[in-house]
Amino acid sequence: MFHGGPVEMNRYERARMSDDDDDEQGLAWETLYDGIVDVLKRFGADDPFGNGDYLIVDDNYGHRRNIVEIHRLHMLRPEIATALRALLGDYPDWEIVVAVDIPGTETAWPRMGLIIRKHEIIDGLQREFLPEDVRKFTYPDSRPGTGYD
Amino acid sequence: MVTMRSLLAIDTSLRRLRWQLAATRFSLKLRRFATATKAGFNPDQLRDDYGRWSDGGGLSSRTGRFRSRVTDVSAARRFRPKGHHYADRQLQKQSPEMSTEVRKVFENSTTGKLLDRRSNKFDTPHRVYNDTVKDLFKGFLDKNGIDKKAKGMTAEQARSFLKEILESRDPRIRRFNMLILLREIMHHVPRWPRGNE
Repeated sequence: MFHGGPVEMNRYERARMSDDDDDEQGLAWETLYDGIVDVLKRFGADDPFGNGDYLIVDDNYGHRRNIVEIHRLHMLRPEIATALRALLGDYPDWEIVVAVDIPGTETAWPRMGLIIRKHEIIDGLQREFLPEDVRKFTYPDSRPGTGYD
Repeated sequence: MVTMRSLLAIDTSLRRLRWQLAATRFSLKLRRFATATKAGFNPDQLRDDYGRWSDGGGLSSRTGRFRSRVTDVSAARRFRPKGHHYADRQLQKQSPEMSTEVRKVFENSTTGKLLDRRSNKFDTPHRVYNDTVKDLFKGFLDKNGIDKKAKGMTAEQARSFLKEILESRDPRIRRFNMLILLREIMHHVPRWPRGNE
């Protein structure tokens, strides 16, 4: 059956020309980035090459999202997730993605992590791959999910 | 009379045209970028409240990033989403004696705002990309007899290095950049309604 329908041919251009949205997004992204830097340095060391505990992605892609890639599993501790979540108090439609990237597990482990939002935490950890102490981690207001939630 | 077969043919043609349109747009953007960097001019360069070109602030000594804390919306204009930096910002952090001109070249070498939102958020390409570009940069400095802190590197050399990144056959670099390219192209491919087959 033919299902041709209207297509948003100008969505790209419209999004590009939305200066007000970009200003708002840029301000929020920067503020949250600085907040994440302040929070995480209490728990470990930032290193973009995997020699520390985590990497905070410093490219703003334009989404309502900040990304942290963690290189040591202790960075999944619930108190760290809670501290990050507290940053989102004024940003109900933003999220902080904590993606697991342990050096040496690139091909052995599936993609996994947490998506932290003001009202919930998406728990996308694949616990069967994690050591016993990390499997026990539970997060308040969390629900199982994936990187597509 | 319009037959089902002709409708399907039109449907297929439309899909192909849309895909080609997206690819052409991306190609055009790459050409604009190449032209802009060649001439040392970037129409998207940040401007201040008076319309003058600005470099977007200095290097923060606290975080090593290119700004201090944002306090108002007008300041945010300088930090609109730029997307992925081909020469990642770690290079600038690792090269304290890099000139302002070189920093500007690297700072402006981005994909621009990305529109794809459907990819797996748990993808983690940055560490490997950073590491690989760092090695490529080290090799570039050695090859061109430039100080390891990038002291004395010219803007022209910075553009040559960007060219090396964009043309790199290293799968760790190419994979990342291609992934972004493909996601942006796929963003423009419409999802057709299903369930009435």
